[in-house]
Amino acid sequence: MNVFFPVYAFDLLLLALALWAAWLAWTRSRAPFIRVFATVAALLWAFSIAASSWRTYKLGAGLGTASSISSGLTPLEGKTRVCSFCYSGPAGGVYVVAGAKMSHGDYTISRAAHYSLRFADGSVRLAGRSLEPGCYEGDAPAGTRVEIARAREFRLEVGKEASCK
Amino acid sequence: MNLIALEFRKHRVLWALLLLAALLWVSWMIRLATASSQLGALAANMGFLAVLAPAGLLVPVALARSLNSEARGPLAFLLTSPRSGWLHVGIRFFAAFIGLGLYYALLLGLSAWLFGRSGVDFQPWLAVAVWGYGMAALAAPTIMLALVYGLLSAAYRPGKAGQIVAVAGFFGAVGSWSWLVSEAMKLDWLPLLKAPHVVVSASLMRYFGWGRDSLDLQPMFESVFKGVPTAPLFVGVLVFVVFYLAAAYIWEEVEWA
Repeated sequence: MNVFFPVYAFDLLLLALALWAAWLAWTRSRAPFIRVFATVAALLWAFSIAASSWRTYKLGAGLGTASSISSGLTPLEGKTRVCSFCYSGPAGGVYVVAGAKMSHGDYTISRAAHYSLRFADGSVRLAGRSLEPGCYEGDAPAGTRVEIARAREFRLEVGKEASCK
Repeated sequence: MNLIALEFRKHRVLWALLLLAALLWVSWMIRLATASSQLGALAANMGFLAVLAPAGLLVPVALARSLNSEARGPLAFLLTSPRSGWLHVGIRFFAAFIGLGLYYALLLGLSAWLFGRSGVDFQPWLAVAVWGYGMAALAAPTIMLALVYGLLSAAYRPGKAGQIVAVAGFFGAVGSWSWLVSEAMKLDWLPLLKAPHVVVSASLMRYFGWGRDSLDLQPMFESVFKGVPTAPLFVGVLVFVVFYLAAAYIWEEVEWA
């Protein structure tokens, strides 16, 4: 699911309002100046909404791996069943799944990417291999699975800038 | 002159409230600054400024509302006076601009006085310059925008289209204004004003534990911003002129009665 979906939905709503206003401005007036002025102003608003939407799209495309989050394809797919103080989404130059306490999580790195994985306590499997608590950094091929039986202070970063520092 | 007096009379409650708030605040601050601690007065001043400065926005709101209600009310025929739209819009703008100018002059003057007494040294013209910059770059275009909003929402009577058109037009205008400012900031041939010397005295620095010597804020400011940009000023004047033309044209075109 695209993380910016609510933003796009709201922009679409505003865009509809702006275009409706432009239509009203053009059709409900016979006074030439007001008609042109009001229509142009409403269209300018529509344009600025579209421009801000485009900036949101660029923001989404620049995050995570080369794949664009905005296209609906996050570099990570999956979910955690039980989770407290969790966040999953873009954070700076990487895509992050993090939580204070997590259990029964299952994620798949959907395309080859650089990753870092850190947890303080618990049992986590990376590509079928059990990990000791600590921090791991590396390049994962597409389809790499991260299974979290349970973990404390878990943080998985995917993207060029993912690191254990 | 009659027209200006009429404008002030129309919004007399709002003007009276603003004046009352400003005067109460001035007398209280003077009492605080002369009777008890300087820094306490300065802190209270900054807190109240955060409320009193945005309160000036009530003036453009009242202007837009009054245009709308006058066009709908039983006295709408008065708007079809033989005077030109240029004069009507100009007078409404002028009265609001004068009133807001005095209000902000009072606020800024008192703040400058308090800063000066607390040990922040600057040239007296700085307060005047800040006032002029704010009035030209922010207040004048905002008042004009409110007039355009009120006129647009009244122009599409009868029917409800006016509100939708006016809201969209208003946001379109605000959006293009901010776009113009952000583009004009990139032009390097627009002059940069030299940042003023603002010196925080040694005693104030010691009081806050920032250091032992007095500190000039100018080099700090200039290392980050190079200078004070004039782009918002020029864009503000441009936006004001364009919206004055638009408002006057709209007034001339609308069939008020």
